Order: sequence, then C-alpha cells, then structure tokens
Amino acid sequence: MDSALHHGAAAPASAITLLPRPRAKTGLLGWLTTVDHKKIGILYAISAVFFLLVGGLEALLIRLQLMVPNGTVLNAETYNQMFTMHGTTMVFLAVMPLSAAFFNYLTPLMIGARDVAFPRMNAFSFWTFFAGAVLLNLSWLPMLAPEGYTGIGQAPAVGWFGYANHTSTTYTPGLGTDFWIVGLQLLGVASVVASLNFIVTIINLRAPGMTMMRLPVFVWMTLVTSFLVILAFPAITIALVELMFDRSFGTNFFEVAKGGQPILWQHLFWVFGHPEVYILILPAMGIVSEILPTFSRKPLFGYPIIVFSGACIGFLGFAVWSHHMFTTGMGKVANTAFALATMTIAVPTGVKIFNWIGTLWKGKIQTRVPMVYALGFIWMFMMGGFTGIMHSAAPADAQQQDSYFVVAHFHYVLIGGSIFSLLAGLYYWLPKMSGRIASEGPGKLGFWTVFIGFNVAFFPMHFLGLNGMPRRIYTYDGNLDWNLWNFVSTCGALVLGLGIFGVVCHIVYSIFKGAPAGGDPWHGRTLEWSLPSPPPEHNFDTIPVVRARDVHWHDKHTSEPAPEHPTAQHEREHGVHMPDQSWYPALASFGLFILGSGMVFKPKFVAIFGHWSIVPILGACIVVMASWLWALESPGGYHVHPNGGGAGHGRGGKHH
Amino acid sequence: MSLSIPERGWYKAPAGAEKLWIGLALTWCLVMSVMMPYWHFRGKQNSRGEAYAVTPAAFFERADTFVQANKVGERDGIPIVEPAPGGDAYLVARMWSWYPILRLREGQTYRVHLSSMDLNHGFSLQPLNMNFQVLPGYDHVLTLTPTSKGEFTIVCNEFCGIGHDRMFGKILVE
Repeated sequence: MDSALHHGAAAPASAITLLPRPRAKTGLLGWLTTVDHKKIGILYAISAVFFLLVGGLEALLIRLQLMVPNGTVLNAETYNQMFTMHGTTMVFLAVMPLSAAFFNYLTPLMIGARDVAFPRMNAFSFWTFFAGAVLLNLSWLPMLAPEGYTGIGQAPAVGWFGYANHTSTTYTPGLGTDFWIVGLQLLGVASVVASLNFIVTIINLRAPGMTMMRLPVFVWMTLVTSFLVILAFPAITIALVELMFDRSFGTNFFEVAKGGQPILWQHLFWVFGHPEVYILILPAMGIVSEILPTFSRKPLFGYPIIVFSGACIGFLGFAVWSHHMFTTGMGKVANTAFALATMTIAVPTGVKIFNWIGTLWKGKIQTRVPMVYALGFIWMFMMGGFTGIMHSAAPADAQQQDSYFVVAHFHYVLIGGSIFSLLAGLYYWLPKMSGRIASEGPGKLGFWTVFIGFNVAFFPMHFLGLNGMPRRIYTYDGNLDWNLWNFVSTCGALVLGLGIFGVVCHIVYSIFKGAPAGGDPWHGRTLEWSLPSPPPEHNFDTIPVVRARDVHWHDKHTSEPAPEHPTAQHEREHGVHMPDQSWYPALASFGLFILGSGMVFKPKFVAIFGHWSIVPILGACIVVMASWLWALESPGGYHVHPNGGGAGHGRGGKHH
Repeated sequence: MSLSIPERGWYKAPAGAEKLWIGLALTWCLVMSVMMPYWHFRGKQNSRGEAYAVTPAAFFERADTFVQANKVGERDGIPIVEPAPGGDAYLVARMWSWYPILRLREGQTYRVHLSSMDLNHGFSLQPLNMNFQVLPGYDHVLTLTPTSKGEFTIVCNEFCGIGHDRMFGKILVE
C-alpha cells in the first residue's frame, strides 16, 4: 500500500519499454488498454448481454423446432449444434461474464479500494474471455462446413457437457469438438485468473475497519465463487486436455477399445460441472442479498448465517457431483452418499431463503424494479430448488434423469434464479454505472413479460419430463402425448424472448436517455452509493475508514464524522496515484487466441504451413513475449488531484 | 455475533398457537424422515447399480449367444428373444437401435444386461419412465420383474448423435 504514495518513482534500470503506456481514456484505444475495473466491468456486461441475446436466439430456434411434432425448422445436425451452443453460450458467455461484470465493477467500490489487486491481469482476464468467446463462435462460419455436412459451419454438436466417447474422432471427426475444447480452455484461463485477482483483492485491499464480517454479502459471495472457480476449473481443464490428446495425439483416455473409460469424462466433467452451477448462482444470491435490505429499509436478517451458508454451499458443492450420474450404475453406496450430500446442500440454501424472508418481514417494502426481480428470484429459485431436491433422491432420479424434468429444473434455477437476479442487479446498479436511472413503468412491464413467458415456457416441461420426453431430441412423433405442452412451452418461450429483448432495449435506452440519478438514488447501505454516479476514475477521494457493517447507511445516520485515512493528507498534497494503462494484457490475450486457433485448425494449417505446430508456437511466442514485456514494463502511474467533494477530478500529473 | 447487544428479556418462550405450530412442524419432519427408509425397504424398486467391466466385443458375443439360444420370432428384422425365467437377458445398444426385442413373462424376475457397442446411450423404459445409462465397456445389470402385461418402448435418452431421436426398442410382456 505504501508504494502507492511513492510519487515520482523513476522506472528501474531493468525496465523495458517496447510499447509505451497509452494515455487515451476514450475511444477504441482507451477501452482496449484500460486497467480500470469499472471499464472492464462494463466490457464484461456488454459482452454478456450480447451473448445472452445470441444464446436466446439459439433457444428460440430450438423451441420453434419443437413446437410441433416432426418439425422442419432445423434439421437434426443443426438442432444438435443449437442446443450445444445454447448451453455453452448461456453458461460461459452470458451468466458467468455478467456475474464477472458485477464482481469487477463493485468489489473495489464495496471494500473501499481504488482498483483490484492486479489491474493489468484484470484486463487480461477480460480479453482472454473475449478471445475464447470469439473463437467458440467462429465455429458458426458457414464456409467451414465440409461438403455434404447438414449443420451450420463447424459449430460443436456434442452438447454443452460433451460426453465421451461421443466426442472421440470416431463419432465426431470434424472441427466442432475442437472449437469447443479450445474455446472452453481459453474461457477457463480467463475465469481462473480473474478469480485469483478477486481473492487477493478482497483479502488484502479492504479499507481500514472493513473487517470480513462487515463486508457486503455480495463481496462474500464473490470470494466464495472465486474459490470455487480456482478449485473446480482444473478438473475440466484436465478433462479437456485428455480429450484433446485423445482426438489429436492418439491417447486412449476415453477410447473403450484400448481400455479407456467414458465414465471418467463424466466424473471429471461433473467435478467441475457441479461447483460450476454454484458459481452461477452464488453471485446471484449475493446480488439479491444487497437488493432486499435496501428496498425493505431493514438490515439483512442473519448476516453471519447468510455468509456462513454461502461458504457451506460452496464447500458442499464439491461433494455432490455424482448426482448427475445416479443412473450410470455406480452402486448403492455411491448413490446413497451423493444423494445424502445433495440433500444436505439444501439446508444452507433453505437457510438463506428464510433469512431473505426475515429481511422482508415487517420491512417497509418498496416495489421498485430491482426489487420485483429480487422477489421473483426468491420464488422461482425456490421452485427450482424443490425439483432439485426431487432429483436428489436417487430412485426418483431414475424417473427424471435425461428427461425434460431436468431441463425444467435447471432453467428454473438458472433463469428464475441467476438471470432474474442479474437483471435485478443491472437495474439496481445502472444509476451508479451510468448516472441515469431506468423508468419504473417499462421496467415492470418487462419484468412481468419475462416472468409470465418464463413460467409458461418451462413449467410444462415438468409434465413432459414425467411423461417420458427425453432431452436432446430434435423432433418427436405426434402420437406420444407430448404435443400440447411442447406447443405451450414454445409460446411461452416466444414471450420470454420478447421480454428479455425488451428489457435489454430498456436498459440500453436508459443508459442514454434515462432520468439523471444522483449518487444514492435508492438510499443504499454500501460504499458504492457514497460516490458520485458514475464514480470518478480513482473511486474514492480519500480511502474511507469503516466503522460498521452497512457502512454508508451508518455514516449517513451518524453525526460523528469518520476518522480520516492516514494517507488522506498525503494524497491531498501529492494527488491520488493511479495505474497506467497497458498494451500487454490485450496482446497476451491475442497470443492466446492465435495459439487456440492453431490448435483448432490443425488440419488446415498443416496444408498451409506443413506442420500443425507452426501457428500454436507462434501464438505461444506472442503470449510469452507479451508476458515478459508486461513483467518488465516500468511501474508507470500518474497522479490525479480530486476536486473537493470528488465531483470531478483534475487531470494531469506526470506519468512515470 | 450481533453488532449490538440485545435488550434484556428478548427471548419469549413459544406458547399457545406457536407451540402447536412447532409441534406440528416437528411431527411432520419426523414423518417425512421415516418415510424415506420405509419406502426404500417397502418399495423394492431401487436399482442396485450393478455393473461390470466388459469389452464391447465380448459383450456382443454373449448377447449373440443369448439371442441364438432363445430366439422365438422376429419383427422388422430384429429377433424377438424370450429369456428363461430367473435368467439373464442381454440388450445391446448401438447407434441407433436396440438389439434384440425381449419377450418377458409377467411376474418373473430377469437379470437384464445392458451395454453399448459404441458410445453412451440411455435406456428409458416408457411409459414407466425408468432411466438408466448404457455405456460401452460397462455391463449394467438391471434386475427386472414386469408387473403388468403389454408392449413397452425403450427410448434412448442419452444424446448419441444424429439418430438419437429415432432410437427406439421394444420389450414385450405377456
């Protein structure tokens, strides 16, 4: 922390400056080289919302195909690509980055810091995510499709879970699965690196007085989610490496004829996959834990227990993975163990729900737009949780496994849970991020459209599942009694699609034309509301000193001024030290993109370059060079002098 | 753990309606908890999860021997096979069909061996809606006792490629 005060630090003799630190704050250059956590959060949010719409389009095509028996909207191969990409897009390119947007934007603000611990690494996470997202979706390019192929381009068609040995070159010889493998590896790198950043930030950069038990619940959930990411992603990394080696380098991890075991993939994937769903829901729970108290005008009920339950859910999340494998014949003991563990995880989840209800109880409820989404979350997530418990009983799961009942379950927790909460977060923090507030009327109309469409789309899937409709079929015969509910579900999906599109349009409109909002339009409790909207680049004029939980609320309602941070006087004289922007994070991500492309397009590059390894080696060289120059970049930095009250800030100050 | 110390006498013991409510809730919890082991033993419908390692080639050999020994008919080119009561039956899943068609007797118990020749398939018995995974390299054994007569459809419910939606089999019970 002291190095921040070390103004005028000259670059050490060993620094190398190949690419000077860019200064632009706006335009393409400004955004490409930014290290500001707020800008990076916005980049994540824009990407996530874009891919939410892409995944939604893929979903609508799926539902249109299933609207009537023997549908002709999509052929079988294209349908298989659609559900693969829909799942992969929604999980990795929509929900996770939208959560990351909030982690990025809010964590430093909520803990009283000026940025994350490693700003350049933060930028690297975003650009690597972006590289992975682009690479994965490049697979749609029609010109990639081989002669006679009935799908679109070479998009993967193996399901978002890519079960071996369907993914072996014997059964899926094309590039699709390779796109999937490499895309996910890049996304995994981005997630793990970002999570390491957040863990260090939350543990080390809290303002004085911000003890762990005074942290906003959203920050706690960020911390738990980050631990889940760094512990769960290695499992899928290994699985994907083994799969890539099976496909490209002749190993036999999953090749039955040579002694491999397809069930190994299931175990590895679900050791990742189950914590992954808690990665998807815990940030959402954190957001709801911030919104409910604000609009109930009451503190969060049972704060310590909510925090502890979140940590328990994260921990127990590693003990339940084989509930995805109850029907594979693992045996009574394994089934029982995982069934009991899964039932146990319902306890902290239920505790959280009771605490949220306790927060609402006897509160002065204000049904503003973020609040209606949060209330919808509680109810819809609970319904999804009920069907989850139904799955946890292994014998009952024998009826539900691989049927539409499961599809209903996870959409209730993912849309009714994660998406509702993320939309609530967008509306709630929109004023902070843009300085403008979204209007109530269209916001609520959007909510009800989404809510009704969502329920009409997914509730009938419970019936379809129990009536035997399996997952991942591109069409069905008309005499199986599935016609009515498929039709109803598609109608609901169309309304849901309309609703989501409308909500996105409303949010975008509000960014430009919404009513101006001050720093604290909702009368919030946490530190971000103590700043102007949008906050200045340096966040806090002086680092706050925290005296209580719900620190902003406490400070608003006490007449005693907070003591000043020890560095406040120094910063008034010398200015606030800010990190310089850098080219190298984006350059390193670009190198990863080249490396990844080289691994995907091996057959094509063999034809051009003679050996498949040329392009990956080139990409790896770019990564190594960028990382080395990144490490040896001069420390850089400049000072800003906040004007009184932090309403604006003086620019300038020597860059060094 | 509270930020401020609660006032004296904050705890009011439950009484009257609240006590009744707690009693009812607790009783219902106990009822539901006991239900689980009770139905487990009474229900007798839980798969034991019996599975053995076997190469696809070896499994097909056993299945073929079984079909040759017990064939009683044919439908659409697929042999109808009736296993001995209390005996083993073999069912082969492959892209994209089930082989053979089993004819079982109501009330008899059979050990049905499931395995795949290529990749993962799912054995979903309709309209009962019983689902089990069929993996290559795995002999997944189900101990089945049909309790009603009729023609039952096997639907593949684990995504297995382009023919997945059309992978149907049959079990006949007489």
